[in-house]
Amino acid sequence: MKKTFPVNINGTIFYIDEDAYALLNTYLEQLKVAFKGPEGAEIVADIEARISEIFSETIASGARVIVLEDVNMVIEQMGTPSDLGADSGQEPCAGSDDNNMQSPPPFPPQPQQVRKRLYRDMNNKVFGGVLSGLACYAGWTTNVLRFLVFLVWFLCLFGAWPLSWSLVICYLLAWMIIPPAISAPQYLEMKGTPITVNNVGQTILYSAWPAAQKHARSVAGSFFNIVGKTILIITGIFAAAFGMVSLFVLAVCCMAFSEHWSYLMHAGPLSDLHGFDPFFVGIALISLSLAAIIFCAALIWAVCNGLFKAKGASPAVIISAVVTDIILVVLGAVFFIMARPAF
Amino acid sequence: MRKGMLEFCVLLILRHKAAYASEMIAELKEAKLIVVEGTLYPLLTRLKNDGLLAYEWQESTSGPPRKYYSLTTAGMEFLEQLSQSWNEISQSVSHLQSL
Repeated sequence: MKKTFPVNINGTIFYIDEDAYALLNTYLEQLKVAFKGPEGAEIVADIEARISEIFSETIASGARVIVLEDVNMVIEQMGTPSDLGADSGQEPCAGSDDNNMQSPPPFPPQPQQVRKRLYRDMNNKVFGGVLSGLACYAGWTTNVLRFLVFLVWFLCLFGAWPLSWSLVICYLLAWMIIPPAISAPQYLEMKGTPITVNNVGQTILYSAWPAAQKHARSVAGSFFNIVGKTILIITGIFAAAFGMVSLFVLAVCCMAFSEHWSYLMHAGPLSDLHGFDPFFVGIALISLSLAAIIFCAALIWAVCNGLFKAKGASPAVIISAVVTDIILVVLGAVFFIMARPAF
Repeated sequence: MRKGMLEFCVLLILRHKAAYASEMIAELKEAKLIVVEGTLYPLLTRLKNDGLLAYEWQESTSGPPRKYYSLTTAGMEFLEQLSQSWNEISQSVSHLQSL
């Protein structure tokens, strides 16, 4: 299923798929860059008219919507800007070497120097694409960086385990903080390639075929990718199982709490706590349980999101869940303090 | 060589009757002279700006109006010159081939 727009190409309305539209738009933009000035505008308008005609034939032959293949075919038929540029570059024909044959040199505009920005590389990721993006940013080889980081982590695991786990936490934090490179301009910014129409077009073409990306991956890259996926799946399954079991246990605890409140207060295990006030201890336990329930639910949701590509939570939901969780933990702590026996 | 020939051939196509771009493309394709269609448009614009071609808009039965290109008198004269030099060249070449 794809989104479709009505577009007006040279006075005729066509329904065109979203991706096909993006490609066609990029192509026409590229032509406008290649053919400048009023003369160039006329050329592009003529080409647009021809494209409109070709699409009319496509529609007449039974198609209802212009799809990506149609646009690719048209581009192949009309020629890429570089084809056309090469053609108008060497034109002298037999006997026509008068003064009249000068064509506009179809050069793209001067690429401006762009600042590299740190993004997570979503096309080449093991977990979140953090190291891949970092390697892009610093100009290192991604797989070497991955191997080094893994080595450091592994050595620390035996030598200084707090260090190795803080490395993991750093990675998770970076995953949350660094934005992913999703759009073509972001991808170019990550690589430090100047954002020109041509480059954006190529990136769009590149990302239009996911199969091409898979082929572009090296053997080492796919090794890391497979290992990463396996670790993610195993961790996810463990986390989900832990979350569900805890959720169940906590729910049972909460029900038991509300069912047997008076028993717990007066005769149960809470009634004899070396002077701690059983009422406040009970409330503190309930709020901590609620906090843990929210945490478990979030964990399960996150695992579903990661493993099964389920719909992610919106930022508002995440923030309110985190805030509620913190409030509940703080309340639990406060109630424990209030339950303390007065000496 | 083929690319340079294209202008000559476009003028030849327009020698007898006015035509619009798609007709020219069809004929050029038939003669196997054109690979990518886009090449034609810069060429037509160039020839028009040089005063060899002129165009007028004509209503079409299907779709929007089309640009019909035709030769101007300057175009006719230029085509004469081109044909002459072409004949000379082809004579020289066939002479050399038949040696």
